[in-house]
Amino acid sequence: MIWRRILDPLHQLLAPPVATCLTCGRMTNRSTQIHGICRDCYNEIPWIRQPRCRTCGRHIGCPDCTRTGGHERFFICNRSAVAYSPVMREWLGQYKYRGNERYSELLIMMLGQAFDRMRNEHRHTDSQWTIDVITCVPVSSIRLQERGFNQAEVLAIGVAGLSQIPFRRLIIRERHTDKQSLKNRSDRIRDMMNTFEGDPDIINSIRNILESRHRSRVNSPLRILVIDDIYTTGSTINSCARVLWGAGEVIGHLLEIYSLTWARS
Amino acid sequence: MRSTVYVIRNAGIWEIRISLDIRVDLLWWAKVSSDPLCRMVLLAKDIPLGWALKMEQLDVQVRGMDSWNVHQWKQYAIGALQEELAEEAKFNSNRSCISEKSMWIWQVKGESNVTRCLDVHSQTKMEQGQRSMELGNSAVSEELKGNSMKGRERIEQVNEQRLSEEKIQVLWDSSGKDAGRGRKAGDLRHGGVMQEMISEANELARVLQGRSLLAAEVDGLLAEAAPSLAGAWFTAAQLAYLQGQLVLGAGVAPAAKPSRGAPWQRRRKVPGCRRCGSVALGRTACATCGSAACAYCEACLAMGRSRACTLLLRGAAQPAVRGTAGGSPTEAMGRWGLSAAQSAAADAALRFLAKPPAGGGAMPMRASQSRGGLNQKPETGGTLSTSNSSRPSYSSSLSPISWACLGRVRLKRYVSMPSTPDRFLLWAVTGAGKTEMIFPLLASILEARGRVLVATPRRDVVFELAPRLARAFPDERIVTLYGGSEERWRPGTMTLATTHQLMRFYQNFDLVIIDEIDAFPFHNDPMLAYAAQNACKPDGKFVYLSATPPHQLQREASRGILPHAKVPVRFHGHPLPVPRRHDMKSVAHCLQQRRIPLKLLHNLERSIKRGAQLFVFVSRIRHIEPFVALLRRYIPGIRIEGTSSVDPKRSEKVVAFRDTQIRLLITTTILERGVTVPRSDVFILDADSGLFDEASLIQMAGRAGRSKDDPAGNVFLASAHWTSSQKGAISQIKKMNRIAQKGGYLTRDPMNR
Repeated sequence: MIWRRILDPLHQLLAPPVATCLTCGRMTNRSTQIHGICRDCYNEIPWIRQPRCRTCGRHIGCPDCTRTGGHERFFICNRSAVAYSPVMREWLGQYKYRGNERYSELLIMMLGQAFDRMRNEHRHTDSQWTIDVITCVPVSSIRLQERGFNQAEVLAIGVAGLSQIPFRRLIIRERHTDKQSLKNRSDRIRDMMNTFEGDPDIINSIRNILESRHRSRVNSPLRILVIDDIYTTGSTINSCARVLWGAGEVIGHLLEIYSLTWARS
Repeated sequence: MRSTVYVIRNAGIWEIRISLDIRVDLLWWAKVSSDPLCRMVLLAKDIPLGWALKMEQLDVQVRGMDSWNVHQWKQYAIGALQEELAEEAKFNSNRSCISEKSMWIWQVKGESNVTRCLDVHSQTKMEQGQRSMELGNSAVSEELKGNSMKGRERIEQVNEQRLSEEKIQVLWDSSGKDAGRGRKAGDLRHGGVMQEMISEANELARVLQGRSLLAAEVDGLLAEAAPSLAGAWFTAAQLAYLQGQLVLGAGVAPAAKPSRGAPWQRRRKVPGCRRCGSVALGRTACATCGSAACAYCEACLAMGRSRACTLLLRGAAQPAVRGTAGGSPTEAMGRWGLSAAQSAAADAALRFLAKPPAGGGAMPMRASQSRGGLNQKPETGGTLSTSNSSRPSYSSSLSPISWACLGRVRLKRYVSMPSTPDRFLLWAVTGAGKTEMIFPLLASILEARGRVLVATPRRDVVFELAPRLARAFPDERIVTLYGGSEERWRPGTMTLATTHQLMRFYQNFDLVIIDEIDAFPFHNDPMLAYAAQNACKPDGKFVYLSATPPHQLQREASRGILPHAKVPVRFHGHPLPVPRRHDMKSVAHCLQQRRIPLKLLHNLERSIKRGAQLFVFVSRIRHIEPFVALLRRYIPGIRIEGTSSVDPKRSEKVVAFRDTQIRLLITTTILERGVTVPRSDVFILDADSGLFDEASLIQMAGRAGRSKDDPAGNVFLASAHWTSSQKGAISQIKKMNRIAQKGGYLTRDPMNR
């Protein structure tokens, strides 16, 4: 017993440093690709490397985007980091509903990779392609009180930090809607109309961004990236894009709105 | 969330209080105080709850405080929150939480209009009060205009007083308008509304008795237990807090300074979760309280997030009851059908329950402190005895003098007293019939109208125990708690719960029985130990149940520190099967060679021939699948299956094994406990593996010979090396058999086997 008391701390000194995997809690095989999780968990990530649908970034055939008579689309395209598999659902649940904010770092890294892919894809056609400002989908003040953080904003600020692009709050959520995850497609689309409004300062923010751009790009459209945690029907992103579009018309400058989400269901 | 902080001088003592609804505090102090110098100073409103609670813990005794002005109080508040404000400044949010603009000083017993108007009236009187307030205002302004000869000081004083009064008025109105966000609507000065609130506060205190709940959980509880209160209980909670029926705290708070230990240990003040006891490392910006670094606990997220700004409500606890001393052992045997060995142990446990707490004279005092000092006699003494209840309450039946005393009763807020309930270890071998043995213990506490808790680490054990307890105690309200249980908020005298559920209780139980103390998740999890300790009343009792107690407990028991009773024999009176050694190459080697050693095969076949069910334990999940295939090739004709923790069909396979459809089951330690198969033999392969410690070897060996019909099953420890765990397991089993023989509990002599 006495020996153990002396030897145990020594043992710990000599043992290799171990860190537990954030997502599965085990202490083995740390992934070299993404910091904080183990190799097994990394292999579980269903990356969307080649989106099947060029519009909404879906990994499988997408009937929504080819549907005729659909609603007008205000954004150019969406890209997502991963497909919304049960494992990813669990991760997002841990972060968003359970409130384990250590996940933010992981999700930001994943989104950062997706953003790089998105940029490379666009630079194939336009080598000058770049995003001028990043913004996020807002949550209502009641939900913010309840949850304590806006997951989309945390992700957006994280991606902005990784890619050295300014982040601005451009949109606010006026109306408090019920949780999106409890509704069907048509409910969601109907519900999302008029949920968002421009931030009181939106015009100034956009003007500032326009003025701070490099002289060579004065005439190119202002590209805004909207970030959210999950893309399901696209109605949230679309109504946010509509608000931005409206602001663009006021200013009289052409806007191009892109969307990047962490998961695509 | 955010809350309001104020200082109150009452009966010569300055104290800092927090408030969820300042209206209640204004009314309370106007009514309660009899101190002519009673003053109330609002320090800050809408600051993060964590900060407010930190201030509440401060000792406020500074000379000259009685004559401080608003500016001095502001300096004081800023000094108190220095660390937090500095941290906030790092994140360059230059919004100041503490400003003189919102602060005020109120002479509670002064001839002010506020005092006059803060009286609970019937409707008509209230209108009169309103009018008199307006008249009073004009009178003051008359005075100010007319008597300019009076000193500037007087004018300044009056000015300040008026300013404060206006601020109070504004605050009152705004909190009235704010109603609905957790606060009660309506004018509290109205007699009817007040009455309603008093009864609500009592109701809230009643349902929260013995509970420790976060605000969101309180909502859940109230929705079921008191629907009228749900969603708007802040006002009632504030009154209950002032009356000492509730303790307000935060989910995560800096631990109280340890008084002992080395200086470097003493200085550390890391925030800890007050629900699960873990250190809260996560710190993030929080939109709920507006703080840039709000700590939260990552360990108990599954129970709802506990953070520095979530309100944690704890009900005041009642003193623990003593168990009725057990009758004669034979009586217990008769009622519960216990064997001689069982009833001897149960009797020892009953005597332990009947004993007063070990603290001796110190204990009652400790108990009363932990109840928030409610039942402590006020210093002036005796006045309260005129009323029936010793608990202060907002009712008009109390005389003014007793109100004065109430103010002096200092509420003890952070109640984490370093007190441990007495413990008892019931060390019963595998298959001894532990469940039957706890029946007399439960009955003894229940007869004394106490509350009992049976906690177990495993959910399946809860499901298995629930019907047995219901049959044994048909008259008791038994609540079964596990993750996702329907009965989450139901009150009952007997609670059967998985250990995580204990976090929702605070000093609620007179007797806590923890089954399988050494089993995973309880073993080595300080969080659950903390929760179990908190769930028990400080003068309550703890009973541990185990076949293989952890070393720590074994040591304490052998040194005589921990009272204990051993049940060395199984209920059928036969000795435990002693494991036999079996030399064998490792499983990995067998799999590589695709061969099973002849000796093992021989023993397996012999067991099959005698009609036994075969447990084959291996150390690794990945060995199961290939070993099943290998054995099927060698032993055709019987059904051989493998199962592990990752097998979705596990429970079906276990049932098939019990029904003898499956004859040979290869598994891991997942089945080491709780599975009883009538006629079984046990083969432990790779018994020298580090994954099998002494306890799990004993548990696995305990699967054999459990039924009366086949009491002498075979147990084989197959390994290449002879380890101390194997030696220890065998010697412990032999020791138990020896004790049983000496005690005369065996129906058959083990030596004659």
